[in-house]
Amino acid sequence: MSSPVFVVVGFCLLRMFTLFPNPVYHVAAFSQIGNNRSENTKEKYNHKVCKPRVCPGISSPRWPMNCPALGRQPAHYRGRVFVRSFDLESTSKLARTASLFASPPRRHLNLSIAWLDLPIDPCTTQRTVSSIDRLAFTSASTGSIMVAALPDDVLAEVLRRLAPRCLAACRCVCKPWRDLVDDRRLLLLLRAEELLPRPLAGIFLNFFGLFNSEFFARRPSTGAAAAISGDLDFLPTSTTYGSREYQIQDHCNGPLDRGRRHYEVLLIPSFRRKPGPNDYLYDKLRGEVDPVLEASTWPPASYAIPVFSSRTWLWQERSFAREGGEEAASTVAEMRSSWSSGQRMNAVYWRRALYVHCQTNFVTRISLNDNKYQVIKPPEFSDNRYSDFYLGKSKKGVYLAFCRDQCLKVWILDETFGEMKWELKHDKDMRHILLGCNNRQDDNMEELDQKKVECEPNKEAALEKFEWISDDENVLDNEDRVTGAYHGYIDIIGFHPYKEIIFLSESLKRGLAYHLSSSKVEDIGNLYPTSYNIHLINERFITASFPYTPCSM
Amino acid sequence: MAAAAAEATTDGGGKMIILISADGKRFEVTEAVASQSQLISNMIEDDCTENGVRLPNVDGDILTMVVDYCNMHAGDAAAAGDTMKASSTEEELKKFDAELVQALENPVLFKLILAANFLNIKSLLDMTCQRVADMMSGKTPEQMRETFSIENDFTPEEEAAIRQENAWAFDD
Repeated sequence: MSSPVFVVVGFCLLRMFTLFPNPVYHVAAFSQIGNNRSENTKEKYNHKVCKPRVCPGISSPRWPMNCPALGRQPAHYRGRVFVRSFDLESTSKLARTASLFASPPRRHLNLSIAWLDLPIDPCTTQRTVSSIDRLAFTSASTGSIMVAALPDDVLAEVLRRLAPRCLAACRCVCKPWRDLVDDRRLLLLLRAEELLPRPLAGIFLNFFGLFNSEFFARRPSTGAAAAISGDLDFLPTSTTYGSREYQIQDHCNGPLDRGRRHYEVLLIPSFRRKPGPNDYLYDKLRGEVDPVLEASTWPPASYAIPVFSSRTWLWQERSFAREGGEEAASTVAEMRSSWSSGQRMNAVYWRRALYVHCQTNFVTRISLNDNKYQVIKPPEFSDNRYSDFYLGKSKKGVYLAFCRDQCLKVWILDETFGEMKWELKHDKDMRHILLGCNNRQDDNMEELDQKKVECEPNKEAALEKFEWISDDENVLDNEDRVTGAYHGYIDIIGFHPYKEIIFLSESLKRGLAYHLSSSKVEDIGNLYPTSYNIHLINERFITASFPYTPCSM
Repeated sequence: MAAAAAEATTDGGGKMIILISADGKRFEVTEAVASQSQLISNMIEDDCTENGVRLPNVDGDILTMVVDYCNMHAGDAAAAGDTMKASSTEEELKKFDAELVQALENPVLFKLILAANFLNIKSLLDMTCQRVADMMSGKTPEQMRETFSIENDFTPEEEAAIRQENAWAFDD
């Protein structure tokens, strides 16, 4: 019914997330790999920018570089970008958005961005019977009236009052109801309001040294599911390499306000170890960074974030005021020194707030409702509070996971009464659990490999399409464990969007679904890329990973 | 077509309006009561209620319920001036509403919804729709088909597919 898509990024200076919204399109962002474009190429490229845009004067001294005169986006502020909310009407608009983001205004711009899903299935059944017609036939003469005789508007009124689960059940009752639920986007509206989980299609993985992202999913390529080509051919060709080399960095779904057909992009700055002229906070006049600013705390009390709105087609700064007891998390200098191009930093959208994993490992909670932000420190890890963690969203909201020495800890963010507290949900040594499944690895491996490549659209496979992870199938029994040393390397690759399951990579080879409550481990297949030849499997070579939840039904 | 009747007035002085159901039953109500229906309210504004308002989509039985409902609720709208008329407390109203919809058989309930929709009486429509929604909630697709006499027009394959799409609604 729908399909997918993704987006991108190169060296992750600029990241963009789309908070999704719209039933038909889906947005995401990507950036392009490659530096050193020639000046000429850039100029040409800039001409593609379709619509003159005026960039408002940037008033804050924190943004020393004004937008270029042509009004391009401040992409030279290296940072991560988030898109919020929408509904794009046509591919051409998407293309314009893409070119907007794709225009590299300055030398050394490592990235560009774009978008999207394509229209999925616009040709749902046309309704020919109008409400009036139906009304007419139900009048007096017929003795009994069926629910089916209710005009669509009225039935929609009824369905709108149902809880998500019940609405989903209604969709399975008969075709007219299904069409009504789909046509009116009733489920999507609920979903947009965060009441409903989106199904998990699979997990995107970026491997160190590989140009393209891998999509890890047990999904047969049936016709319907393959609306979008896997090679991202809608993205502009990289002029540097003459080919398309993109990596999808992250994706997150956001809100769709009823009837709202617009989106916003938030650009969250990040700091490189050695700032160049095009970097955030670089003072061009002085030819260096401002030492005062460098020593200042971050984020500032009033955090000015450039926001692009599709409504005005402008980038404008929006100030987010700090709230909550926490002081600023860090200083600019500290953040610079923590720069690492390979660090995974995810963002999560949950109940109208964006949770961004920032350099030096704290979380910024940006509330889109009231323009406030809050710094949330990670839980104290036993050894080192600056260890990498994985931020994700699952059943109960925002989760934070951390794995070291095969010990997996998971926290859930408790926001009761506006106080941010990490509640420890899971703290276990995984070795015993995983040893049990190592035992069976050889037996299962061959079969799983086949599953990964198999494209036969048989019926069974089609059924698996929407529920990749089962609750019990294939679950390995912990009782099987044997004693002995465990040698695997465990890396976290994502959370299930609505079940308390965390996905793990074991030594780059196998994907595991670990049920947090029951401690059961499910083997979900081989995730080692076919074109990969790294043998040091016990190192962290996954540079980005996130569950992909397309906006389908 | 009692043209004269439309001009009748009550002792309170409110203008009376005649509603005529599909099967010819006549109901005399005050303007305040009738104008809870957006449809009739518009007609009153347009001044075309002189000869009574014919409602070809609404049976006499149903119209009786609608008029009862409007009489009960007229207090909300017209409470200010007319205190002696409808000073029903909120609880009484709720009780009345609940009894009104609880007892109804499906076909009657649906007719009432249709009438509320046609006459455009928002509060009545809300209440009746909520009643149907309550009847649906917690039911499986099979139970809903049974409750509402709906024919399953999916093929077995289609049904399996659609249930998979919404599988999250069926676990645990």
